[in-house]
Amino acid sequence: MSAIAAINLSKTYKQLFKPPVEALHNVSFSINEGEMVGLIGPNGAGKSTLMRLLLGFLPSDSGEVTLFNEHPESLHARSQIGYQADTQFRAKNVTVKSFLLLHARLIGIERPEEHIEQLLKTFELFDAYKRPLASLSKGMRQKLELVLAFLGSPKLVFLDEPTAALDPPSVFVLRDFLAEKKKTGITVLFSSHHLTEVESICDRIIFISDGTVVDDSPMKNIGPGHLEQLFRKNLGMKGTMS
Amino acid sequence: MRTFPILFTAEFKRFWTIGMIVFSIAIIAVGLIPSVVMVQSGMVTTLSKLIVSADSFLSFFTFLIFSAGIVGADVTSGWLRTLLIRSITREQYVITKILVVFASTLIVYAVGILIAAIVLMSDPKLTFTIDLSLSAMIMLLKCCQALLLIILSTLVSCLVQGSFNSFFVYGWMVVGQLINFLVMRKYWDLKWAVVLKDYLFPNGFEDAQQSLLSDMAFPYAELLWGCAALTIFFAATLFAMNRVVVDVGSE
Repeated sequence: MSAIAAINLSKTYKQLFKPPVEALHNVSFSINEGEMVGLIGPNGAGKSTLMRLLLGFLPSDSGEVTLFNEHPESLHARSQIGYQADTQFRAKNVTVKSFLLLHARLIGIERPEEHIEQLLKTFELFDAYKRPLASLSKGMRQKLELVLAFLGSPKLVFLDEPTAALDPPSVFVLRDFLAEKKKTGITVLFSSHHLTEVESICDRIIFISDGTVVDDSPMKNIGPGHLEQLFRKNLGMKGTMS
Repeated sequence: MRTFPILFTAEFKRFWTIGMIVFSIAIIAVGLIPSVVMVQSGMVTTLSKLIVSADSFLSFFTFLIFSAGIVGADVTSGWLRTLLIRSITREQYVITKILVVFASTLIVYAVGILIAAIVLMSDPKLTFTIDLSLSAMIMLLKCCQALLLIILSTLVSCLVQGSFNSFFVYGWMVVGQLINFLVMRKYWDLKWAVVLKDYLFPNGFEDAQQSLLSDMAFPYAELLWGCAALTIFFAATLFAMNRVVVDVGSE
């Protein structure tokens, strides 16, 4: 069964007194259950817009999205997904504990404290369990977003620049965690600018440029260490691999 | 159904920050002074009139602060995105937010009026009567009007980000009252203006209170107008909530 199916998705941002910006144009692809797919492309290519359309957070101008053959805003589909956004949230009067317990209860996790404790320890955030959210550093909030994304063991996880604010040890932790999760059959859509991470984690690449899918290949066809070449080729850039 | 109590409790706790508690205590304390003065000067002699006089100050500030950024602030901060990603519908979220602000407003009203009534009743020199049935009716209409204002504020908050939604609703209300005043004073002979002035702002519940306090006929028409406005704007709020762009990101 396909975990994500996008058919002819288009999105144009209309702005007052400015020309409209076409973020996506007729994007179509399908991701099967158990796949770990890397979404790569230059800045402003439309990766985050695509993620928001897939999650139903942003209405598309045309096209269709299904998650597990259901509408992305259906509660049943939503109960199976996790999302780590590229922007971090802020909240007053909330501690890490109360925030995660709220989400665990809303999801309906039995014995939520144990599950949360385990995830916090995995992402080395357990010391901040009782701290207010407002006091967390940027990197800690990124880890909290990751904990939230994996809370309740979702079947499909969207990760938008998950390592952007993480230090190298935390990146290694995330990489190992995803490798472990891969064995459980989880589906991951992973957007990143760090090509080595994408190479090490993903088994398929979707390359987006100027709002269109310009490449969709299995990682084994690209070959280890050749992602940079693919990137350069798709953008018409000269030069050789570093 | 278990979602509502969990979300309500969490949002209620999040709402009552230390700043909000201090603000509410200050508003109750300051709001009581004019009411007590009015009773002592003999201008207010019944509980129903005390409710009206206390409300004119309490509701202005509680509504203005309590419903500021009710949805827009959660969109900007990213909080809404974290809630909607799993197991919560947009309708559940917006209804919970309205109920949290409504319950908080009621708490401030009730505490303020209760303290005022106790203070006044403990003074044997004052002639202060408790007209329970009329007071209950006035209180009910006050609650309906507060709910309507919160819903209007939520609707505006769904359309614009930030915390200026309640100021916008107050601006709308003030402009409506000014035009109403002008029509009644200067243009009362213009039939269309007299008819239209009633539709500038949904004031049905306020008008119903005035009718009850003036011992006029039972205000069926005003109540109907209030209820219609409540229903229409609630539906519009749900519609607008479903069009909110939840995740305002970098692209």
